[in-house]
Amino acid sequence: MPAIFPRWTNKIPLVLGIVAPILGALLIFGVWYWWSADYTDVGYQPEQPVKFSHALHAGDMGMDCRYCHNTVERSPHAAIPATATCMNCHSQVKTDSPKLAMVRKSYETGASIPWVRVHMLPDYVFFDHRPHLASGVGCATCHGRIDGMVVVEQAKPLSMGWCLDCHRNPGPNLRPLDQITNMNWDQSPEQASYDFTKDPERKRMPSPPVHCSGCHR
Amino acid sequence: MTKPNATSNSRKTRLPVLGSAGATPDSSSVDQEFALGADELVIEGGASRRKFIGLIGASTALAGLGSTGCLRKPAENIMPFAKRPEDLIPGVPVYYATAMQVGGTVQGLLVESHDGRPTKVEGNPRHSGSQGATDVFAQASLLSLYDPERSRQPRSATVSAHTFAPAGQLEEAKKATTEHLCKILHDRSIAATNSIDAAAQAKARCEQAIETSGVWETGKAADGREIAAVSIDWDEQIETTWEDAWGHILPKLGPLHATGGQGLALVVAGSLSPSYRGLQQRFVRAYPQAKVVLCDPTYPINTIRAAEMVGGEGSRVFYNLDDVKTIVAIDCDFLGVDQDHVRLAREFSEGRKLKGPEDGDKLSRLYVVEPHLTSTGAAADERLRLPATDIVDLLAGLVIELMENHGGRLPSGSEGFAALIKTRGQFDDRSKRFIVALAADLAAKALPDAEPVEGEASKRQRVLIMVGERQPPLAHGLGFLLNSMLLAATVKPPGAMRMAHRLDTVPYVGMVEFASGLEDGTITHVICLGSNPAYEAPGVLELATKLQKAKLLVHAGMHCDETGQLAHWHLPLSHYLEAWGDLEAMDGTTSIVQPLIAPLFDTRSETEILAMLLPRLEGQEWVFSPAELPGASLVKDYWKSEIANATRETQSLSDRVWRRWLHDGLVSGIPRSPAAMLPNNWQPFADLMAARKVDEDSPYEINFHLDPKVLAGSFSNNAWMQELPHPLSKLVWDNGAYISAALAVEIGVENGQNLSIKIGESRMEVPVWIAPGQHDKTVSLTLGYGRVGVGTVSTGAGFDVNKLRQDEARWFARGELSRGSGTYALVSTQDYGSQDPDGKHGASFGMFNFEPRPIYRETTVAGFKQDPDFAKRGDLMTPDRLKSPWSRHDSTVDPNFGVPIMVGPHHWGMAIDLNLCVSCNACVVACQAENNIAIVGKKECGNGREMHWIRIDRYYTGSEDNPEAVLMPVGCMHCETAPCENVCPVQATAHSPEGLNDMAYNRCIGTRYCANNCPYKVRRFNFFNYNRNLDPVVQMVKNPDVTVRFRGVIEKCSYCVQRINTAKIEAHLDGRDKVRDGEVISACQQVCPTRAITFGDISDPESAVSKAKYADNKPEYSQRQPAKRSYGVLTDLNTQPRTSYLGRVRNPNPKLA
Repeated sequence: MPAIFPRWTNKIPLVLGIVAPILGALLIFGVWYWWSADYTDVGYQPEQPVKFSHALHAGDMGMDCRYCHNTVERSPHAAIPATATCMNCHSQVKTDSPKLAMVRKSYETGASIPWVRVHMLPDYVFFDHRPHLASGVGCATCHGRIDGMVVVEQAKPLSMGWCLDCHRNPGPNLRPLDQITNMNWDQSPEQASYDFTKDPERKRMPSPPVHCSGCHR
Repeated sequence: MTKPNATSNSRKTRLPVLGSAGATPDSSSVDQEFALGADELVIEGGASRRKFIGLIGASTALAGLGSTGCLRKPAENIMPFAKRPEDLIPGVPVYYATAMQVGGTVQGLLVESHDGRPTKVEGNPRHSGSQGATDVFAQASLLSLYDPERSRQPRSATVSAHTFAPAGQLEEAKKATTEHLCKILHDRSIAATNSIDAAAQAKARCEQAIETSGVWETGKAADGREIAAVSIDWDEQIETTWEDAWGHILPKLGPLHATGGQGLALVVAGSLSPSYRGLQQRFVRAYPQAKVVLCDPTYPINTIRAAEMVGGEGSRVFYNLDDVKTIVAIDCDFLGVDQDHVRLAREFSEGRKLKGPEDGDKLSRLYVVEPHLTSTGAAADERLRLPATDIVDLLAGLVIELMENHGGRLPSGSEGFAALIKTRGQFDDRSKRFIVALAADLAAKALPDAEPVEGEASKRQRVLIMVGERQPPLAHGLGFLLNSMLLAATVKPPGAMRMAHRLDTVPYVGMVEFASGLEDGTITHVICLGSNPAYEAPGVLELATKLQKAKLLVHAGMHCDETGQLAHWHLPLSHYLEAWGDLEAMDGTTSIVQPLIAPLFDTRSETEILAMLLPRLEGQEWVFSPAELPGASLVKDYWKSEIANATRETQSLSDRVWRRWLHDGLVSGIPRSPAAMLPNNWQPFADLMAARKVDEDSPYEINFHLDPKVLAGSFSNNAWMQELPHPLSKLVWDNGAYISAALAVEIGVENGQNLSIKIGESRMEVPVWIAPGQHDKTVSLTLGYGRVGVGTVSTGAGFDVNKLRQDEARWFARGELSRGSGTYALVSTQDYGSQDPDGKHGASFGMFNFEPRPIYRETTVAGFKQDPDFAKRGDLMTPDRLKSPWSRHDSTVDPNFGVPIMVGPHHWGMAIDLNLCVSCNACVVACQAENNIAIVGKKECGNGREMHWIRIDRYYTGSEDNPEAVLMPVGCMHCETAPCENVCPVQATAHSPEGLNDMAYNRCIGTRYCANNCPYKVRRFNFFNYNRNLDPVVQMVKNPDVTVRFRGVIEKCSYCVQRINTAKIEAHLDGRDKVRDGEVISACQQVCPTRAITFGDISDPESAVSKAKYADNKPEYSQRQPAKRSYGVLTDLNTQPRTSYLGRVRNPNPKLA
């Protein structure tokens, strides 16, 4: 009577013992990476209704972030500028560029330009720009090198773990309060020697919350 | 000759919205009782468990497909302004001053606007009527603004349409018009009924109506084309336009000028708006024969009638409680719904504050005489249950007692009145003792020189008798007389009872005259402006029937209510947050009402509508305004002329002054209400006293009250108000017949069984709710329920007791009671799972027996002197026996072991003074508005699933004959050693370093272990997805600073952590490490009229909350001694709650003990 199980089946436990952990590790790695905000959110680059280039305006021309996003120090939101802000210059410059047709139409009719939100937090997260600016967190720290983006994309994961990394140890991400909009701060020579605890300009030391209600209410 | 010059072809405008089904709320949902977020109830009741699980499975599968990374999160647009208005910063709320009228009360308000959307109402601290607080009605008015069932456009049963045709083809034009109109009605019928047959019938009926009774109008357009217009009377109301409405209404009013408005009646609600009253005066001048009818159960007509009797036309009376040591409220719910309740509550609370036993003598004393236990009765030191009928006798007894035994001097001119004063002599022993003791107390305080009482301070103190609006003018007259005798009525501000004089009165006629005018045909044209006579008028007048006799019935209201449904033309009214106006409080404080938002729907304000109905005389002809005038200019023009009149044309209203008025919420700098005066004409009361007759035959007295939640119906369709527990009975979504336990036994009914009530010929059945404190021979009913066709929220809620009323000015009547048939489910939010508040009984389950644990602690002034630590007597465990295995304050403990260390810069805490809480419910609704709390509906309330984060517990104490009620606001206690946190398997609730018991909704998986383990029952669970599928209009009420919760998560009071965070961020921007005391105000604290709630940082020994909670100011709060009256609830569980209570100290009259 032949054996029910051929001889090679003896190797199954061995192979399983080796392959299963590898498969398991791959699965865990897969979930950890492909389902994480690093993969799902970073690089989100929706098409905008107006082909506005931050690389041109903030990069080449060196406009300050706050010329357009002027509520960032007074409001939780760094508001998308009103069309009127665009027209401050574009009533003189490129007045009949076809790319600006929607901007001119918005200015004439009062209809909003439907910009697509890039940096999206869940509705149960309450983020406020003001204390971050007051503590010396630069724009580029969370938004990346906007001055190099022709079309804005999400550069950082904006996940809870990523937020908490900085809230637990804010030091490496702080800079002098007058360098907030400086896109090159990380490359600058002062960066290495800057110690926020010795900065005389600071009115108080940052104490970022790490408890639930700091952000969830 | 009159010529209304409304654009003559305006009636020919096409009805652009005719047939749009989206304009009205889906009629298929009308049979559901609760619209807001209660859809799931249908599934829950109707689906089997298997189907339910199947549905959940399917939705999970779909959700999985959508969210596993195959699909990105949906794209979201940001819509910035094209031109951002100056000073508007997106995301930063702006506050605007405005004002609101509730009955005879005006409150100045500051309304928070988030990006143009009003989200929260607060009191205006500069306004005397609100003083920074508000009542529950102002809080709930916000939801009324966003009521999706508000009337959105004019409606009429007169339907018209028109078409054009080339010149000479009139018949074709007529044919086309017929087809056009009938197609509209056909399509509308399809949308409403979904039935082709019904639509075909509608079309046929339309064609027939045009044939038989269509009113044709034909003409030629400017380009020579033929116009054919037709209008028919349709069998239901159809949405139309304002142009169409004016085009039909004004031509009908125009001919009335020939007779001075004979047959015309304007039915208005009581208004305290000077500009609106000014327009009413102009109406009277334009139509001298017309009648202006007052129809408003909330307006204090008895008080005003009495004031006008004693002080002449235009007199108004108001009270002031500053420094008043003895307050006698005679059937006067001045802490609930009577005139000026917010201001009076604030003034009352000032006399109820005390630190230690030594302040006991300074405490004011409140006597309350009433048939039904109200919030005011619960706050009383001495309360007498008395039928409302006997109150005149009680006042008469007081006058006689004061004159005979205490040397009370009559004011001059009142001798004739006084001579007639007599009682019916029917008082029982307690009432007699009450009158004697009360008179002695009043005389000792107010007239010390007349009869020096040994042991009492001889200095004169202020006393006040307040007679409530429910009482007839005679009772008010006796009250005026008593106040004059007790020197409480003075001209100048120190007087506790004062009178003001209005020059701009309008001669109103009553409902009875109005009803008889309709009956005999002398009133043919009726305009109901903001009033609802078909519902609000006493049932005996049968106005709902009589109104149908009118040739023209125009109704303007926020809803197409009972009158609107009868009307030929219904016009939608704006909410006060959408309209311009002005309000003058009884004490003369005047505010401009400015809109916070443009009208959400196609609505107009009362002022704008009345201005449109007013013709002016041009030459020999009366001419209507050619176009609608905006409310802003109507109000501003009124004040321009007021300034010009007041200054004899020497000054004008500058823009700067106007802006200052709007900014402050107060009109200042021009003299209003000039004449202050004293009561001086007593003869009318003598006549009333002489003519007084009491029906002694009927054994019982039936009382009517304004409902403390929906008033007379203005808040019926407000889900916040419907779900709000009644201040004492804690009933939700219904009204009931309140009777005492003794009467229930006598008649043989129990809670929920119907009671048959008969007054005269009117009879109805109302379910019983046993209300301790009710007089044994009385029953109390509240108005405002049993609405028909107003909206899904109010439909099916309660019983319309207006049917029993006989006269709009009489709030009680003799009648008969008997056991009715059947039962009705009334839902109360308190009496399930309640513990024994006195701790007298313990539990009877053997080994589960627990020691008595008094939750509410109170004493008397004498008791407080005897035992200053009375509040601690209820603690089973002394503080030294409460040992915790860990310390939350020891920073050397490793935080990784799961004990959060409270090392934050602040330690948040709350103190609630039970001496001050009067159960006005304002905090409950303020919390609901601030924290986006869902409505669950009556059925879920019956399951104990209500969602309020703060509730007001009510306990009855004392004897059954004369019970007292105590009230206790309970929210999350933010226990330092919180039992809920230990049992959460996912760390969804955890402690913050500042002592907050945080709740992270996104972590919660809905095990509800925390709710099980909470000894205070403050954790609420979202059993259903109450916020899903909310109407977009209701969504606008949500506070953007607080998460809107999903199904399956627990929620609870967060100490308004959004406000804490905002204050901390602002302090941070300011360069401060800590928030200053007073910068964080919780929603409940901000709204509290009596300032019973104190919130703040207990680590700061100088903060208000530390001073309330603690007796000393040691830097470490855990080392401090608690204040004299301070105690915590269930502290023997070692929960260490951050919310503590200050025990109540009553000030009863020792002679009545």
